[in-house]
Amino acid sequence: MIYHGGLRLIQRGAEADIYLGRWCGQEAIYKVRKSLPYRNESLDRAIRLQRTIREATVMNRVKSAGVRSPYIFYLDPKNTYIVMEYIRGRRLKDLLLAGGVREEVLVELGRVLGRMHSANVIHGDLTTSNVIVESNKLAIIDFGLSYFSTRIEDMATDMRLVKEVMSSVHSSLFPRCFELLVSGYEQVLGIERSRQVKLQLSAIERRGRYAKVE
Amino acid sequence: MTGYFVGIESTAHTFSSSVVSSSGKVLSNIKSVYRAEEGHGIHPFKAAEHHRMNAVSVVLSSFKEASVEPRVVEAIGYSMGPGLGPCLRVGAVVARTLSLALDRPLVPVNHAVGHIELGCLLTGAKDPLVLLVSGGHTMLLQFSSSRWRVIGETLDITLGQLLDQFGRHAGLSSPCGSIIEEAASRSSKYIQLPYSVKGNDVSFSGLLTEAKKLYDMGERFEDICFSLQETAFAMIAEATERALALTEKKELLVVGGVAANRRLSEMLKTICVRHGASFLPVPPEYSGDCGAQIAWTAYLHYTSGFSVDASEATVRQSWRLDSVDIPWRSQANPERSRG
Repeated sequence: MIYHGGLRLIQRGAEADIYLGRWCGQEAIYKVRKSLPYRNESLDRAIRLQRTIREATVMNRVKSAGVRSPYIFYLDPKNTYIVMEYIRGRRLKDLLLAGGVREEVLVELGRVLGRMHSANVIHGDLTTSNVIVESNKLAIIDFGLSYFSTRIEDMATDMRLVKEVMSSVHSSLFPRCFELLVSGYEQVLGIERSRQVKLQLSAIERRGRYAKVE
Repeated sequence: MTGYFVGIESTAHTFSSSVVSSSGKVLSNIKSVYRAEEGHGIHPFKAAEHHRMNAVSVVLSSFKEASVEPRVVEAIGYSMGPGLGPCLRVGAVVARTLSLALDRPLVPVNHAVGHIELGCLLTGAKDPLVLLVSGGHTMLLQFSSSRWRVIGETLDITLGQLLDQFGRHAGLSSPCGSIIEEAASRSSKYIQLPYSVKGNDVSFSGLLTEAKKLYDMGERFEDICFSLQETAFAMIAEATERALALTEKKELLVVGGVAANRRLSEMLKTICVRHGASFLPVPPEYSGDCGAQIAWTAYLHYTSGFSVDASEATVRQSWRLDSVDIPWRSQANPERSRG
């Protein structure tokens, strides 16, 4: 692996390890997809390569839709790692748990999700840990499970994950926090499109195991 | 003074009765399991017939083995749901009969909550991330604001259903998990199958379709079993790892029938080491459906002041565990709401 200076492990993620290092004189994030010891080797190789390439593609695409995401400095498909900009700020998850989030931030998160969806990008893992608040602006990170789609079903699945995280990890703020998000989403996607996504979201929830049929 | 509680389980293929003490000792846990015909799944009415035929002897042996006289039990727990209607109704009838005969209160229990609470009792887990994997559930949960909350789950079929439905397609009878595990151990040839993780959620339906197709195309049964397990378990492992990273829990409790699978355990153990969490699998004899999970949860509900009259002791085929209030647990979230 090519790097300048030492790498410091800052987070052990589910499918990649995140290191803080330097790149051309500035601080940078090294996202390394190491082989997972418990996963079958050929399955493991295929997943790592596909996700590394797709992640970089998606990160570029969302920028033109007006979504703040890290700049990519370098990508190595063989060793499946990406070097990218280090965005300073605090995780939305921590801010929500500490109770210091203005409602406007959640509305803005809804707008950001709307912008991604209008660019046909499904984030795929939009938990509150993957939203960085930097001086009241939002940056989105970890596009490792992202993909392109125009299907309402996929957009609803994306929104369902945020809802799931809010209702479990941030249960004391639920459902208010999710309603704020939806209002921001409507501002970007329009009432009609948002309505379709919300309808699909309840259809997905009804498909859930032992869900109440309304 | 020690109190005794009896629990009746009858959500699916297992009819079971157990006596536990208020100090948390499982004194008996008698089971009788309905076996489906080869190539078939559980036939709800045949399973219910099996339960009717075996109910009396199972309940009597559970008292006998525990050396507890029926008349000294404090309350009778039964699984109210979720599960197969005809099967649930047998358990409810047995529980109501005991309640009227012994003049003791009835405590309806959510079967899935039972899996989790018995797991906590037996492993000593305090504030775990829970992986519930069975024929009825595939869920990742944590406790917060007075309920067990779902962090991730399957978007279509469960892990148990995936294994069972593939097994049945290959001519086995449900439950097929252990035969598939055994066949998988005789292969190391990986055939690429669809891998679908969506955030903390998983989807198995595409994987099932593809595995059936491979079987019809004449691929070796052992190789498909191996590939099916490797893919499905890697998906579960990844979702679990995501949830561990998200919740930053230091314990992973694994409960439900599929928790007995050795390959899945091996993968989950590796993950726990990576994240510095303790790996707490429920002992194999209690991983599948059993009366002990119902008896113990009935005790917890009862001591929190909850029981019902026989006329209210009905069944609920669809009953999500995240709609059940858990008054005996506190902490985790400072602002508790019963929303």
